[in-house]
Amino acid sequence: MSFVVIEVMKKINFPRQCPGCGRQLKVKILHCPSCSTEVTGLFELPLLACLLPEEQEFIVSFIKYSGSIKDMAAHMKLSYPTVRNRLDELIEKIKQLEKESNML
Amino acid sequence: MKMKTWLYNPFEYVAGWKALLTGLAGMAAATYVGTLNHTHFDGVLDVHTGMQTKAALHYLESLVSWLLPALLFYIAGRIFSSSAIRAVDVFGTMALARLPLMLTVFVGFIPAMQEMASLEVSSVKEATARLMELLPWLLPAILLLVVAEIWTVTLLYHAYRVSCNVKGQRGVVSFVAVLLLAEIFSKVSIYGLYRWMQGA
Repeated sequence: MSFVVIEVMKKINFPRQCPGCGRQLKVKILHCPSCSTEVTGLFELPLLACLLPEEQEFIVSFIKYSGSIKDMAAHMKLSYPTVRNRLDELIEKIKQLEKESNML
Repeated sequence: MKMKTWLYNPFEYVAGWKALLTGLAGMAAATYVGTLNHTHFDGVLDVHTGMQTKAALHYLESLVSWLLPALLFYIAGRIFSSSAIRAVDVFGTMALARLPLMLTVFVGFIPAMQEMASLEVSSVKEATARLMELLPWLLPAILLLVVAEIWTVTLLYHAYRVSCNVKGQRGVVSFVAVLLLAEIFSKVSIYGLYRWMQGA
């Protein structure tokens, strides 16, 4: 039964922003699918979870290719500067998220 | 890979040495054809036909018309970009961006263009009459040149944007400024080359 719950959870788009005001969401309840224990509190989303799925995939691929833009470019069938530009955009976004997180 | 992206921004997929070698090969081939029909790439966005010169001048003109803007765009990239840009990407994409302009070398083979370049008439009336006769041949050639110029400028902009990671208003303004500077510098340099080779 718990396995089914995990599968369903995977298919749902993970919400990052409040649909009402657009601000970043926080975690209130953590649930154990095995014993149904729930932990209630106010937890910050990890930085990587605040990124879009394609941005997370980019970071995972980047780590898999040992941080080589050249290898990433070959894998993605894109040019070196295109991949470097995407990486630079992601760095800027992460800096912005860190800045916002520090302000809260 | 979308065909549209390949046409107006191939640098999403190609840059670096691959772009540099492809662009240089295309430029060399077009310049060689230019030596046969007396077509010169005598400026960043210039193509002129009719002037008979030494073959070496054709190659030097093509070299200056690519190298000078590439160098200026590289300097602009170093100033305006926060990314770690590579010279090979800037010079490579700039070389590849010139290929549509290189295709216009074949316009020089159109007899009407050859005649226009060496037209000798005794009066304005005679010149106008001859021009009207040649117009059906000249119009498609002019249209092709205009399309090639617009295509080349679009590619040059994307080459700068992708290789230097300069976007937005800053990217557009710096691109226009550098392109104008490059056009002026290339014309002055090529004129100097021409004078030097005439003297040699």
